[in-house]
Amino acid sequence: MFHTVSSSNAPKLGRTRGRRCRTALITGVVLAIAGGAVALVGVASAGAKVAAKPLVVWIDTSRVAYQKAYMKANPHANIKWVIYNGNANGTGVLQSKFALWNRTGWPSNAPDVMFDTQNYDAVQLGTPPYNDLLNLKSYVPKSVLNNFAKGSLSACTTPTGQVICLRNDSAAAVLWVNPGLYSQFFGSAPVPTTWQGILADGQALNTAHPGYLVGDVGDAFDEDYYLWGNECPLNQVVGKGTIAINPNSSNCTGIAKAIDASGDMGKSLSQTSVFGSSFNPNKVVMMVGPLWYGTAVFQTGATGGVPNGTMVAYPPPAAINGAHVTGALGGGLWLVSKHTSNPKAAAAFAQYMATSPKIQKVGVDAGLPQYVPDENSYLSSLSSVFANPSTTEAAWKTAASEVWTGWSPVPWSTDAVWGSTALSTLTASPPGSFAAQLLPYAQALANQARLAGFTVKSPVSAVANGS
Amino acid sequence: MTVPSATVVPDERASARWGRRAGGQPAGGSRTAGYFFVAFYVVLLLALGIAPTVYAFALALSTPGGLGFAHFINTFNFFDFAPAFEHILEFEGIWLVSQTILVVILALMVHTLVRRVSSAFRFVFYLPGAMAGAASVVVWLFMFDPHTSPWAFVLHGFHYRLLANTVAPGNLPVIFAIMAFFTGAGGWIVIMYGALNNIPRELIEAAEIDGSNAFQTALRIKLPLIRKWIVYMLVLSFAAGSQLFVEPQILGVATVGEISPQWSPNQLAYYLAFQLDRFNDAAAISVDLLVIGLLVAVLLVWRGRLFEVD
Repeated sequence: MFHTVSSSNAPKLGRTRGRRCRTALITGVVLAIAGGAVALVGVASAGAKVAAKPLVVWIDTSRVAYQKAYMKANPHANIKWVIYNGNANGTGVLQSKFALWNRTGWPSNAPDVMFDTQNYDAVQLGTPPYNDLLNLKSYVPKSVLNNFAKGSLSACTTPTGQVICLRNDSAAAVLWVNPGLYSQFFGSAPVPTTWQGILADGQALNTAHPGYLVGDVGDAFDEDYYLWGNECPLNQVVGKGTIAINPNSSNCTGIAKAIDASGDMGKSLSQTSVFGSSFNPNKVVMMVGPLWYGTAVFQTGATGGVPNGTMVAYPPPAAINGAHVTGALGGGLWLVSKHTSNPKAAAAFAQYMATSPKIQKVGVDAGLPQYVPDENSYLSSLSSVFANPSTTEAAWKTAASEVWTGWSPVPWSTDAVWGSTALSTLTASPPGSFAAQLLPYAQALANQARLAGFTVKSPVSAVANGS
Repeated sequence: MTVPSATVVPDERASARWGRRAGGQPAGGSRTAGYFFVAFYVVLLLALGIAPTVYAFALALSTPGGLGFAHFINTFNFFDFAPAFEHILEFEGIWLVSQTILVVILALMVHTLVRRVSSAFRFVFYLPGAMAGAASVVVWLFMFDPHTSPWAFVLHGFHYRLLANTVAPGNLPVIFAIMAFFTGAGGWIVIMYGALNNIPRELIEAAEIDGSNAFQTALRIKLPLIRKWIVYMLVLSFAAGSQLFVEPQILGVATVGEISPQWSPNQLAYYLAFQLDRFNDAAAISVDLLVIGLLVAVLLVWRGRLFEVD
């Protein structure tokens, strides 16, 4: 490279200024382009050629147990399994692939069936501008659809009534309790049934037993429990392309002020993420969280986690306004591509995965099956994992039927918005006010809604008109 | 102060090796060879540089009613448009200033050292650059998490107890500047060192005989002679920095959303294209970035007299 210096200086030709400028301009263009990073979206390589075209199925790593169970039951099935991230946490893998393929044509190795962990994805991918999901109404018998738990297909139904996915499992939030710790600190007092009760127990722990926890404010998805679980109307689709957002609702301010007044944040409400390296599940006296927390967050039976037979699920706390509702986080959907060459086989496969007892009994990590006939055999497999399995079973069923439907599936991640607006304040020491997060969060949600082409309705002018 | 007229004397041995005639004109045969070699680059430039740029312009300018600037106006009014550019401006300000000052100082220092010691230093400076992009973000995640960082005591000094505290929105420009500095500075130190080596030995000796100390030589002889390389570094770094994408994107995934997926303009464009299927608006933002990069490049090349012969 060093001779470049001398050669650029060597030819002493009497260039005109204009030419020099032009050279500068062209070089500027080249340098700017060369300096720019080009993000290439990788496309999965084509599968090996076989006689009949295999069904291409995309799953996440947690569903590998399903793959094994399926191949054991159907050893000769012609299926190409592809592992991807399940679209986790709004990473939008499916959105990006679909958007590209809609412009360039769908490749032959595009997935026919996909497992998706984001509840809001189906409606986005199944409606314009995407419109890429198969309407399962014509492929899955009505009797099967009717056997899904009440309301569980709401995130799978488009405004025009198409059924564009099958719900795999419920991820409703329950109150997870460590009964050993609870009786140690609170004796024979009954487990709280309200948010106020949980926060009051937290206050007792703050002074008497610091370090023990009644919940968490350190994660981007905590608003799914505190706000969704209190009927706080910040994410309510009220008509085609219209969303209602009201941060001043007493359902929102009630829980927020209760949290602030308790002084629990940073004490018995953990500021550490439940997936953080310093989070100790053995310090959790109780915690509101989805069904799958039971094994995933408390790491039941694993090193550093709680031993088998420790945790018990209780029904989710009643909202501040007294309603018996709860929030949810995760769970999964089975999606079928509209561009599949064999819609009949693809739909039949999705139906099998979502409903077969051979699949739905696998893996406690997954939540309660939403196909009701599978629930009992699934629950019976939990007895070795949780203490008091009958209480846990009952709590799960209660929670699954109490998920508030006013928190709508929308094409943006409410968790990501909570994370980027509220999290840094709530995790600071000392923590800022929870109630003070409601307005900026509502404004940010409104901005996301407008970006996605929604009309925002709000009694708060800063939310309705944008900032 | 003006530098002696012949800033860089063509290295005679190099000239001989590259078959130059005395007048500095390449021989006829080597000119053909030159075109031949450049042709490969031109093909790649057309396919991977020019063609996507033309495509981006076509997408950005095509509106339902024919050619127009609707997508530019559209995106300009997005709530995240101005903040994204403010973020980048703040990041570039911190990064480019600190990189320029530190790289030049370190290169000048290394150049005054004995060759054996200096090569060891250059190697050490270059090492962090071996982890670029996604890999470096993962390492930095550990460095910024007070629970895992070897520099936890520094983070505790700022009252950061959690990763979420360290990557709070106000800290992000500094954090990305630190990442970018360690990724890129080593490479630039090596390049600056090369440029310094290109300064004729006689020139430095002459200065020393005239009584110039090491500090004066560095400041008054060496620094002006590598000015063009500094401008070159600024042009490339500005273009790369304005297109910041990988770092905020991966940090956002790792912190489960604490960083907005529309933090930088490039992220906003990606979100528009691949989350909302709005390719035309995304292309408009890409064109904005290209135009800004070009303007700054032209300004620096022109004001920095990058192609002038002294």
